[in-house]
Amino acid sequence: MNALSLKGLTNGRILLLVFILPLIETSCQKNATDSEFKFPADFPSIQYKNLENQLTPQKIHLGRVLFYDPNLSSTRTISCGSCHAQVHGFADHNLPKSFGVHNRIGMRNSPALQNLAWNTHFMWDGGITHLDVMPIAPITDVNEMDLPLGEAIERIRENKQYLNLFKKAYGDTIINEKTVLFALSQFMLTLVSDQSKYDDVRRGKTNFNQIESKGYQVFKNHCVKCHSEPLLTNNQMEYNGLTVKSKDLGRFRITQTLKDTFHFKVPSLRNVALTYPYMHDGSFSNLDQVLKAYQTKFQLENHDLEALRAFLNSLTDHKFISNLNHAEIHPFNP
Amino acid sequence: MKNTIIWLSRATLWAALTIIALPLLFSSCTEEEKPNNSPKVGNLTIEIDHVWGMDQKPFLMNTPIVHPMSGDTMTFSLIKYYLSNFELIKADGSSYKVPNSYFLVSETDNKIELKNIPMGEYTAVNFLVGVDSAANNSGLQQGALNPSNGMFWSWSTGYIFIRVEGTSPQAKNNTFLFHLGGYIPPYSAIQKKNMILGGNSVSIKPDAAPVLHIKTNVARLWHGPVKLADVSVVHSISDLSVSMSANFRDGILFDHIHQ
Repeated sequence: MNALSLKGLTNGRILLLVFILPLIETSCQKNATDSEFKFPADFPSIQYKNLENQLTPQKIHLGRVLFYDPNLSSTRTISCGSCHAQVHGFADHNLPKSFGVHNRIGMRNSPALQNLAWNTHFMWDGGITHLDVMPIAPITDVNEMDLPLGEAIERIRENKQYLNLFKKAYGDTIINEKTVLFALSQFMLTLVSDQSKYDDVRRGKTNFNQIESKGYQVFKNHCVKCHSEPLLTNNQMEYNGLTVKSKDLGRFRITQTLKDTFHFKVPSLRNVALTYPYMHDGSFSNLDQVLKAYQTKFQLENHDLEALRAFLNSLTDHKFISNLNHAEIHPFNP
Repeated sequence: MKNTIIWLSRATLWAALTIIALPLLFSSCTEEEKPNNSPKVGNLTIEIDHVWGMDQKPFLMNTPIVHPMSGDTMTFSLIKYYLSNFELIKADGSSYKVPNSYFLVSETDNKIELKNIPMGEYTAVNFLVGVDSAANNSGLQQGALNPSNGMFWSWSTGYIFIRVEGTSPQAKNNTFLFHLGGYIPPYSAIQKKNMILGGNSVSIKPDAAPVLHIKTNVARLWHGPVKLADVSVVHSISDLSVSMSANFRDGILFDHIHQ
């Protein structure tokens, strides 16, 4: 009898706990961090600032669908993924400048999207200062997707197939600038490239071969100041002295300050072998041309260039470009 | 005996767990609650009349009007501007900052509602013509600052503080377009307005609905004068963006209080 009542009490307490614990978990769903996605622990702390936008698998997935949705362009033909292709490290398909709606040609070379969580400035002139508002530029730009933001939101609202994705992501079907742009940020934040051979070497999992090793030394002697490790960019706007001075004044466009003339954002060297052509105007069609230009600038020997090329090839992240979580999807047109 | 010890320790464990769990349950996600014993508050409406020139002719949209200084004939198709960061000041110098006060004003959306202001007699109103730098630079905003409102520079993060567009035979290509903004010195177009209520005061109390009438002299933008033959398009930060926004601020004047 005693044993029984004790057991009964214990069960009662278990019941109580069973009742309380889910409450604790579900009552704070907005703070949930049950994402499988994690930023690499050996990278610097992220620069993306939006505590309200905690990553969840559902929001990341919604962002991915939006990223690949051509309805966000006026002609319903061009998505973000059109000019940011996974096989090219999320740069364009080797075009100097990208084609927007009606074959209009964009102003600059489409940048590779990776490790955006560590960016403080976006675009070649660094004019955009927060990832959450970054997509507004390509969506609304007349030479890119050419759709007013409000209309883009309206199109997403009209597509009933989105309702379920928003419901899963946010718990309701509110579709507005915030829920759309936050989800796009989530997907873009997961575009992390940290699995190249260079990273394996960094993590002590393997070693560079002789020529890569020499190339790494050349890199450290001449390139690392702007292409700082481990992200391989210092996130600053600089003048590299290589590109033709044209009507495109670079950072000056943003600051109207003379010293910023022809300054452009230092791109990361990650996946650089995949993202040709190079520079803000796509004026260097291959890596050899870029290396030759730097050969003159830094007075490098031919064997230095060979070594540097080998090192740059070690920055290609094959896992990143074949990661199925980033791949193009058309859930509404199976 | 052994059983009792185990039972006690279990009981202690349960008590501890409950003590830990319950506050979590109740406190972890409480939304901000308004205290019930908050001081008495009232509202203030600010109504903005748009006028044309020092002699306060009516400002007309979609109708040719002649600028009193430049002589340019202007037909306006759009005017929008931000007023933000309202602060009400009492005679003793103490003040109340209205939180999250951002308003997009046009010739039709010309009423601003300031709510939950502490009771009292206020003799001045301070506000910004434009948007403070923090709000320009902290990602996506909603409400009046929603980037879909046509007042956001997508390519150079920040707000257009004052946007006017229209046509004029004096302007190049027959159109004029002034998008004034920028929040980083030396090209900050944020303009602070200190508006003294002409020696009067506005009474804020729970059962009152006072209206502060102010007048915006739109012509003041081209004070100086800025002639459309010389400049008909501004859409980035510049010296002109700074001086025109300062002039515009100087054209916003106290008119009267309807208590």
